[in-house]
Amino acid sequence: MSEQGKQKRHREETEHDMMNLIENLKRGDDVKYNRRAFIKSMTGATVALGLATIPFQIVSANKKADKDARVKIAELASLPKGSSVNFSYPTEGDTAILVHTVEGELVAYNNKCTHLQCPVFYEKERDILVCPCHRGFFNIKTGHPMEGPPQRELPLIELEVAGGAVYAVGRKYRHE
Amino acid sequence: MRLEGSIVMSKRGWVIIIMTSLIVNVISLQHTIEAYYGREYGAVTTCMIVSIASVIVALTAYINWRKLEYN
Repeated sequence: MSEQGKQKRHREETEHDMMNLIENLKRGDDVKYNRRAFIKSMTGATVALGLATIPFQIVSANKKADKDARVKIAELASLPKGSSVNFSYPTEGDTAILVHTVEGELVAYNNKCTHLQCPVFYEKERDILVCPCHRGFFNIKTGHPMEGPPQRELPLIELEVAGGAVYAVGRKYRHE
Repeated sequence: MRLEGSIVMSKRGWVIIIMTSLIVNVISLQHTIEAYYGREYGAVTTCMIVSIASVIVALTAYINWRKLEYN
């Protein structure tokens, strides 16, 4: 049949809504988007998500646990209340901050923000740790996020004071 | 469900199992990422084992559903 003939054959005979109920149906969509395709996609997604955990396992199997080295950070006398000093622990790439809080406590955390790794600073006025990049705030006593985008706590550096000096002796990623 | 060497279940039952596996894997992946960034490598291994088990269950359910669907 010629193209013109086909067009005549499928021509709408009336404008009435009830006579043109199949106008919006597309056979291609029916074949693509149906119950069977949905269940197949769901199975595919399940397999993909399940297999996505394997790279994390491979990478974590190759990572070594922290060596709990004892590293001198600063002399206590050189760190008055309400001040902070930066250092690295346990490796040179793991920058950290030691804070002598206004209340006289010594606390130390790795200072990469758990949101996007920006450096975190101590704000004496509010006695709080601040990430200036996206205004993330961390509790100075616990290292847990209080405001802004960060969702995880800062890694805690365990401290020891001996002979008037402050030492870093270990690190905890998950802590209260 | 009837056990006589093989599991007999309706298509809907298999689909529910696939859907459950999907939910398990979404949650498991989230926990894996959390554990990885928290350096809890033991938890990463546990989550991966759960995910792989869930994948096996989903594939088994899919094969059974397909048998019934295209029968």
